[in-house]
Amino acid sequence: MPKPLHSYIWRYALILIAVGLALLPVAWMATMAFKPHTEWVTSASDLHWWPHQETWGNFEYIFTGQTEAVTVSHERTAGKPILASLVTSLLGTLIAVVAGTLGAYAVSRFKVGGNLPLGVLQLRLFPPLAVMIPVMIMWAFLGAMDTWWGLSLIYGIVTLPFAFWLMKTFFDEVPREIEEAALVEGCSWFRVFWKVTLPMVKEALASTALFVFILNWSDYVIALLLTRKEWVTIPVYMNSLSSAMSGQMYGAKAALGLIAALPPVIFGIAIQKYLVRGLTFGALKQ
Amino acid sequence: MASIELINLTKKFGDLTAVNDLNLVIPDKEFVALLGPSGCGKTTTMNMIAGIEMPSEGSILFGGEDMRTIPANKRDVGFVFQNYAIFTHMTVRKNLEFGLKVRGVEKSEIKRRVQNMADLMRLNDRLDWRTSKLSVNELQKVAIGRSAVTEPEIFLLDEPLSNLDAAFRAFMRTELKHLQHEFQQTMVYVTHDQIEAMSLADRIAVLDMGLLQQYGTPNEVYNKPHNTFVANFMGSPSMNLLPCRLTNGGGDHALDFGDAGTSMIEDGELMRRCKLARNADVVFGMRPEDIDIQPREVGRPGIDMEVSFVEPIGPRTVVHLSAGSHSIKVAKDKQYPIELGAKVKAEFPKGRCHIFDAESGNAIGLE
Repeated sequence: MPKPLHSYIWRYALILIAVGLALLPVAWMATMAFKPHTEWVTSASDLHWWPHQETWGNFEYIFTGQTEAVTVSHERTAGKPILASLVTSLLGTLIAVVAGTLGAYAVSRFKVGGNLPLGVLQLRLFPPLAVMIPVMIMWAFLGAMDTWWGLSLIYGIVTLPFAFWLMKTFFDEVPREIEEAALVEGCSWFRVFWKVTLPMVKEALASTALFVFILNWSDYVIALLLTRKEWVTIPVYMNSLSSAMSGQMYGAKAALGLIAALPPVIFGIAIQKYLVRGLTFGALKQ
Repeated sequence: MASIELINLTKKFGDLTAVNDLNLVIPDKEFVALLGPSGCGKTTTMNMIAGIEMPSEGSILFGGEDMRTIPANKRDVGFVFQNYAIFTHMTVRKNLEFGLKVRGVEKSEIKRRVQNMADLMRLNDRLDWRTSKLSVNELQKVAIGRSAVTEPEIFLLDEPLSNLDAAFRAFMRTELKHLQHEFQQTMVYVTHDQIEAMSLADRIAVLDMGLLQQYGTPNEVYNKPHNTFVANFMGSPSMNLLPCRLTNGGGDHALDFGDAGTSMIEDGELMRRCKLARNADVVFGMRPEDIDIQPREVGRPGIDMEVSFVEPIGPRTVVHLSAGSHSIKVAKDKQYPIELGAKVKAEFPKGRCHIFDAESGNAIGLE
């Protein structure tokens, strides 16, 4: 029996409201990025969505440090922070996903490590900030402060449990028989992993990488504590887009925010078919 | 030469003994079925032959060569899993090529053999399909093809047909026989289906609780069961097993069925075997198709029973007879004329009776 029409209406109405609420600030940010200085702060009576005078000035400002509309120039441009964010987030993701995947496979298949999986999970039970003071001391000792590798490393470490647990649940779902079949066909264990198991979880791998990347990309506190000048990331840099003279540079921040939103969106669209398809193996009759 | 010898093979998982001191010789090029109910250790035995599991004790020889130190990927056996274990991220062709590629077979040879196997398994028009689009029947064909394409001397099949529908199962049975004829492998076939085992195998090894119950040709296993387990497991409907006592009725031996009455023994062979019984408590066995239903007036050995239920199952009629606490099944031709509640005599013809020790369940005086 088909469901009555009104149940669909309700469902879609709810979805629209939820999506609208979630996207409202994003939309506001997007239009703000194109508003000139005079429109950044408006009184309630003059609240408008669309900029009266569209301008690229905000983007110009963050990349060159100056723009005609703003008198206060900024000595640092957004180029290096964007590079820093990309490098450290991608490397951190690589570390977490590679180490997490290999570890998860070992634990899932060979039952090694005893309580290690739970221990790894416990790493996620407290906020990373709780251990940042000792990490700062260690990083300073290692000369890892304000370096691309120092920040990448801590990103990899902090998101490793996440990658490990996600991949472990996915590996647990790969039927043993499939690997055993490859084994009796003459594969070495590594070849089984590389040619059979890993390709079977590639969808899961892609979604795990996306989640880990977003975690790293949106980090503020760790970058704030472990960088000074050279490898400041986008969120930290964004905070510097204000000064006593200029006040809060809302337009510039919105422009940077818009740029910062792009990589996860692009990444997400690129692996969309994997995300949607999810994990439907169907190799076994369950 | 690819005979398989299992010597004192034992596998323990913690406290559980999955396979207990199994000795089995599977001759080269023979088709042997490991038959038993689920949990009897047949799959574990298979996994040990393939090298997926290591025996706790005992050894496995392939053609006289000890396999203890040879890992699964070096044993060169074909293995078909009950749940197919198809590589779903590959096309049918890639699945069939897999084992050959791993072995480093030449490209032209791979092509030839895959084509050959596709012809044999009738998968030609499916070769470039994604495996997710295949039906269950086709998946199992791919699984069998993938293992057979490398032409292993030893071919292991773990309940390969149990997930298939009945019609296709019958078809695949003949295909498998055909395959073995073509490639001359030593085949080990795990199944819980005694009909499958009987129809396919040269020899059947019946297993229960990790112990080998009997090993012989289908004929031997069916007609000369070594114990009540085998007797009960083989055949459908299974053998009638009636607990009774041996008594000396007027010089002759008789079987006392308690509240169902007694039956004299006039069968010389049965008499010989009864004399070898150590205890008076025995189990009397008769195949359903061996029992005759006669009017009570006929004074031959048997017991008076009543028809309690009639099952017309297509090719046959299964007649349920009961007397006192005993009931038996008798298999007759289709449309067998009998009425519910009819008072009849179940007659046990000569040379068809089985007698087992009540305590151990072992057949008495089997030659």
